[in-house]
Amino acid sequence: MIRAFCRLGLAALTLSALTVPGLAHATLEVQEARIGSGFKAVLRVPHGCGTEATNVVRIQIPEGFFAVKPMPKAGWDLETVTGSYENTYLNHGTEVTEGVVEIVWSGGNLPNEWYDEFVFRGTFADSLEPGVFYFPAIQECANGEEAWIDTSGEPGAAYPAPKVTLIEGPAGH
Amino acid sequence: MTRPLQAPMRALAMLLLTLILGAPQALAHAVLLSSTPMENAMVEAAPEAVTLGFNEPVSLLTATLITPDGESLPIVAEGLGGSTLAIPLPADLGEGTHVLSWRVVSADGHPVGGANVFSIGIVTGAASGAVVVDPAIGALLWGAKALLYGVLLFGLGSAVYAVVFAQGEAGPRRLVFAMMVGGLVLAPLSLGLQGVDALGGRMPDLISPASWATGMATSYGWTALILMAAFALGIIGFGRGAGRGASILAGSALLLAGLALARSGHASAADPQGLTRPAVFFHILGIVLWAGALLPLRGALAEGRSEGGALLSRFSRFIPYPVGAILISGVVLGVVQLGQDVSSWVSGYGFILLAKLVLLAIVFGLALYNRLVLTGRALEGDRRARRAMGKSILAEIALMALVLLLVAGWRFTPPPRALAEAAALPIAMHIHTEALMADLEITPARPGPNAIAVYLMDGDFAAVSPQSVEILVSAPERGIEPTRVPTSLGEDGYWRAEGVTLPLAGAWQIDLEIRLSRFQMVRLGDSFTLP
Repeated sequence: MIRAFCRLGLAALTLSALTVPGLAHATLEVQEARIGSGFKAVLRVPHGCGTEATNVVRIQIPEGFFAVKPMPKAGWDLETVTGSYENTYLNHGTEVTEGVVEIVWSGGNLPNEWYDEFVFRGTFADSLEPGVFYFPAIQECANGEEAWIDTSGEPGAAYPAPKVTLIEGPAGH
Repeated sequence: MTRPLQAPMRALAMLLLTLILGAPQALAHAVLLSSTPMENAMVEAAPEAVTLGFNEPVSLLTATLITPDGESLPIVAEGLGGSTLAIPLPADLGEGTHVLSWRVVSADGHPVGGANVFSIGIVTGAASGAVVVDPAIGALLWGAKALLYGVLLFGLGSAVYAVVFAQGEAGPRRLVFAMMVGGLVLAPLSLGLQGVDALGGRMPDLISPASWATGMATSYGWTALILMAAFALGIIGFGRGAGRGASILAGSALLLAGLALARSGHASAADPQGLTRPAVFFHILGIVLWAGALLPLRGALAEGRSEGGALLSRFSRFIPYPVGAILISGVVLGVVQLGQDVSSWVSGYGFILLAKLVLLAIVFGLALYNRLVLTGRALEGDRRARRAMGKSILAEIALMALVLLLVAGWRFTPPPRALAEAAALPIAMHIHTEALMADLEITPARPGPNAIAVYLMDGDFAAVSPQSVEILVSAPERGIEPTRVPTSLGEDGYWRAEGVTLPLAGAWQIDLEIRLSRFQMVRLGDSFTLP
């Protein structure tokens, strides 16, 4: 009984310790993905630039995440920037050589006091290596920006890029 | 039985890991919007508090005030919280530049730090938290150098004078030998002490090879080695008594001594070296010859020997040349070292020079009295005049010894000329990574407001044009949190930030956040020491 409580308490503490960083930074809701699988990314934007409201959210799609489709958002204009990939990927037997490299939600108004999420999906190429995969993101406000583009992985980084940890896995989608 | 425990243990390990990895993050979303006094503000009177305004409620974790003299005062202000923090300051703050380093936590548990700089009355560069030099080393180095100069003048000097000008008659022969052997020991000893001093070490470090290697690497290294050679030649020459061979040996020893001291020291380091080095050389030659003549002369006079008269007569004809060399080279060196700024003459260096000049004036007075009054009478055989002259020479030796003690103290007081140069010397740094290189220059590189200029190149030395460059300065060892400074691009390709206040001497960390493109940021960093 005591053990069960211990376990519960520790689990709760662990959970809180794990989830806390998500509140402050722009992060992805799901932090783990399988190589060679589809992935729905939810970018969480917890605050504006200082006190200013966020008007534009940009996210960069790095090489290796293909067949990208952003989710439209009421009150925001959606556009994508496409470009050619360095490598060729297979999407259900079809060769893919180009696609979305940047998603831009613009013309919105997300006050500093409010919270919102921005969604897109795509597929992690099976040629990727296990490890951390970054999606650099930028919030633009009227007079400034919050650039979540630090991919150094340093624990003290002020503006780390949103990231997901890739693990080996059965290509099951 | 152990199985049920494994899950909690794993959870505990995970929790610890999470806390260790996650806790120290400086998550930058609580943003400082305002501060009173403003950043880098100059206020007339000490403020009672520093008020920080944030974009959201925060609680104060720690705050430390670093005073102009480098002292860190922890500020106890428990329970301070809100969007505006008024961090109370200690009463009776003195004039000068203060830093308030603070760390706050915002509502969701993320610490954010920063440092605010303000000055009361005047902007100061605070005294350093510089290396504490072992006073024993300083005293020993000073003593060793004074003694070394002493045995150089009165040991080697007497030997040279005796061999070259007095047929080997040196007065206290054993003493002269002992002094030269002492020189053979003192020269390397002072080299080791110089190394310990240069490393900021302590007494026991004298036996470490690093100290000696460092001493050898300073400009004093060759000085010590050449001095040893000079003493060795002096001992051999003096041992041979008189004659041509002995004279050549002694003469070479004298030239080596001059060369040795012209190789190091403040004066030889001054520009123009084409002027200062020969000046030091002739200054040393003159002093060694003059001081070296005193012991043999006194010996000859005291013993009342017949050749005393001949020696005295030769000395009085010869002495104007070394004294002239000393005076001319001394004036040249004094002018170069003091520099043109008269106000800077009031310094440790200036006081030592003044004291030296006063003592020398007395020595010259005695010498003139000997020359003009006593020499004539002594040559006529007046015994009282001879005795008086012996005493007067003894006084000259004592005064010269005092001068040597003073001159050895110059080691610890840089001349105004050097201070002015040091003040104007910027810190130049090169940060090198495979993708990007940065040349940094921090001017004037002393505590207070500094300008920082950054030039960026890629791995192939080609210029890069990033979107923006931000500089972060911090002093992690002293608990000063990073201050973020924007830069602007000049026409010459340098990214510049003006008025970056580095309030204390000592170790600083500088980081560059270089925004290469919209989504790409590179961070370069290095540490430097502010003198």
